[in-house]
Order: sequence, then C-alpha cells, then structure tokens
Amino acid sequence: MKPFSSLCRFLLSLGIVFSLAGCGATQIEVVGDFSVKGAKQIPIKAALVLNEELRNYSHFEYKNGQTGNSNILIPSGNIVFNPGKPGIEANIAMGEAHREVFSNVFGGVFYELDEFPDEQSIIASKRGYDLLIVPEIIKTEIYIPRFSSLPLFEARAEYKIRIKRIESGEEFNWFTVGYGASEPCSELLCREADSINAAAVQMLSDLASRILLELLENPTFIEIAT
Amino acid sequence: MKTARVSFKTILLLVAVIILNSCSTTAIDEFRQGETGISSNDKIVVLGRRADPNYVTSHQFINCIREGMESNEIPISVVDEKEFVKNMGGYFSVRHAPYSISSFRQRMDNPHFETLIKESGVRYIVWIDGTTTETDKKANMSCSITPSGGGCFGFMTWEDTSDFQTEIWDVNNNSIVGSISTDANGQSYVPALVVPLPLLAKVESNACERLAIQLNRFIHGN
Repeated sequence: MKPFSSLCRFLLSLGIVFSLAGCGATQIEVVGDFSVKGAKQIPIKAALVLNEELRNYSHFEYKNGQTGNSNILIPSGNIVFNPGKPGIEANIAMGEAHREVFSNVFGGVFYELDEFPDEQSIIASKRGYDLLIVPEIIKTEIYIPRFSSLPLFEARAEYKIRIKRIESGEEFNWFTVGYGASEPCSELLCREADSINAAAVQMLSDLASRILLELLENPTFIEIAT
Repeated sequence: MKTARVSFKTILLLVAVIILNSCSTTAIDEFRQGETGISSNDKIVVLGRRADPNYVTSHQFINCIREGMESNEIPISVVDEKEFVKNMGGYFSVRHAPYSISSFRQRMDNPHFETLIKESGVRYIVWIDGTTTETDKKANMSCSITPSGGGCFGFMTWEDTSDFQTEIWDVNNNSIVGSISTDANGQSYVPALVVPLPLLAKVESNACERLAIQLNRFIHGN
C-alpha cells in the first residue's frame, strides 16, 4: 500500500505543478521558418525600412478586470506596455518574425536589398536606390478557442506597405492582410502557446505569399518598379 | 499471495489495454480514374487542404502519411509538405493553392509556376482533406486533494471519428488519377480509481497507417 500512496502523491504533485504552470501570463515569441524560394526576381536595388515600432512589435491580450474571463483585444500596435503588467493574459512578440518575413520576401524578389531603421539612414548612406519600401503593421488580432468560441486558434493582421520610386518621387500605399489558423491542442501535454505560435506563423506565411503573388502582380507596383 | 494478486491484476490490466487499444475500425474506399506508376527518380508530395474555416487538416497526420509511405516495403520518395510549399514561391500557400485540378491546369499556363513544378521533381500531388473529431463524450469524474492525499474517481468515455478524403493528381497529365476515402472510428476510455488511466483508441494513427499503405499500392499501380 505504501509505495502506491507515494506514487499517488507524486502524480498529484505533478498535476498541481502543471496546472500552476498554466496560470501565469502567456509570453510567446513567434518563431518559424520564413525563408522564401521560387520568387520572381526584379532587377532593381531596394531599400527596406524596418522601424523600431515594427521590430519591437508585440500583441497583448488583456484580461477583463471585472470578470477575469474574457479578453479585451488591443487593436493597435502603437500602445507601449511594460511587460509583467497585471492583467495581461498573453504577450505575443512578433516584431522579429515580421522583420524576417519582410527581409526574406523582398530580399528574394529584388536583386539587391538593404535594410534601414528609418528613412534618414538611407539618405545618410549615400547609396543610390531605385525603390523605397516601408511596411507597417496596422492591427493584429488573436483568437483563442476557449474565449472566442471559434473552433480554431486564429491570427489576423492588417498591413500597409508604402512603396516609393526614389528618383521620380512616385509612391503608392498597398494594403493587405495576413490570416493563419491552427488546430487546438489534441495531445495530452501540448501548450496553448504552441497553437498560438502556429497560427501566427501561418499568418506570416500568408502575408509572404500575398506579397509574392498579389503585390508583384499589382499594376501600380509594376509601373513604379519597372 | 500478495505477489500473486498483484501479478493477476497486472495481467488483467495488460489484457484490457491490449483489447481496448485495438477497439478502432478503419474503412478504406478507393476509386481509380487513371493509370499510375512511379520510377525511383520520381517523387510525390502529400499536402493538407486547409481552406475550411472550421478545421485544418493536421500537419501531424500529413507527416505520418509521408513517414508511412517512405518506410513501406517498396518506399516512395515523398517531399516534405513545408519544404514544398516554401519552394513554390507562395503558389501553394493556404490562400493561393490550386485546390481543384482545373485551377491547377490554369496555373500550369503560368511559365513561372510550371518551372517551379518541374524543378520540384514531383510526379504526383496528393491532397488530403479531413480531420479527427471527438463525439459522444460522457464524463462522470471528480478529483479532490486533501492534506492526507487525494485522487480521482469516476469514468470518462468518448468516440473518436476520423474522416479523410484523398485526391491524387498526375502532374505529367494534369489529371486526377484517383481518390481514396478513409473512415475510422474508435472508443476511448479513462477509468479513474485514484489515478486516471487513459485507454485511448488510436483512431487517427490507425487511419494514417492504412491510408499510407493504400496510397503506396495505388501510386505503384496496384
């Protein structure tokens, strides 16, 4: 009997540890393979501006202070928060993942691509570029099944990409979205964070494919870029 | 006597595990529409259809099919799904993938797309669409912790149903050469006497195993 009750206590302790591990705020950094192959190449030099706001972008999900159950979606990435603030349900860092996507996609498309933290750096570099590209994250949304009542984990985002022909000054804004979904956890010890990551990675892959197949086919883009 | 009782209980438990683990049934229906055959230089790719808003064909199931086909007696070289999608320049992303043979034929008119397909070395594209769902869940279990110990008591059961539809495209002829329907279901049990004991029916893995074998035979022309 004794060894059996020790086993019970051990298993119950493990159960408590795993439960408590899920009680804290979820901190996720979106990580995935965003390499791009097979893109149509355009023989021009481009400067890609990835500003600090984009590179440090995080999506926050807040607990409703009153009920403790529902989430308030933060609609814009312009709000700056201190990590560890009480009431945060999830902090999903996507800046680096976005930087990788834009860098890989545009790097695969243009013969030459250089990255800059702002437009002033391009002028200071004194290198001649044909095209200026400035992507911006307008909005991100994350849907978690236990709050949204949707069957899947979903990630959505809206983007604006400003494209400017440096020589002529001609420019246009291209708006697009990214969408990704992943199935809920089906394994015994899988984490919600992994499903959120999978949905966000899918969203970024969707963004990459839209740039490759929709932006590059856009008549205004073709006119400016070629 | 104690040792003998423990052994008898262990044997009973093992027998129950064996019986319950085999409590899943799989049915496969194949419909052939064209000739198939594959050389050792040719490859295939197995892709999951993910256009439905209510479910996604799991990556795990697709990987299981790939591994099953590669480890078959007469193995077939299968390109990894994620590698293929990455190498295809966005044309096989969830949003842009040609989910029907007619849209695939249209895409093949695009020289860039045609080049990427030829460079991939893929002879057959296998689309799999489906998911495994839990139904008929009955649970009557309670768990408690006290200073002197704790545990769970009760019983839980549910049915798992896997339903996958497979379509095989011949890239050389831009045609559908066949389709396979896979239905599997099984009952899972979780009795709890202090410690819950999950006895899970391996429905999806059984469906994967059977489908991988069937696909191998189909592609080889049997």
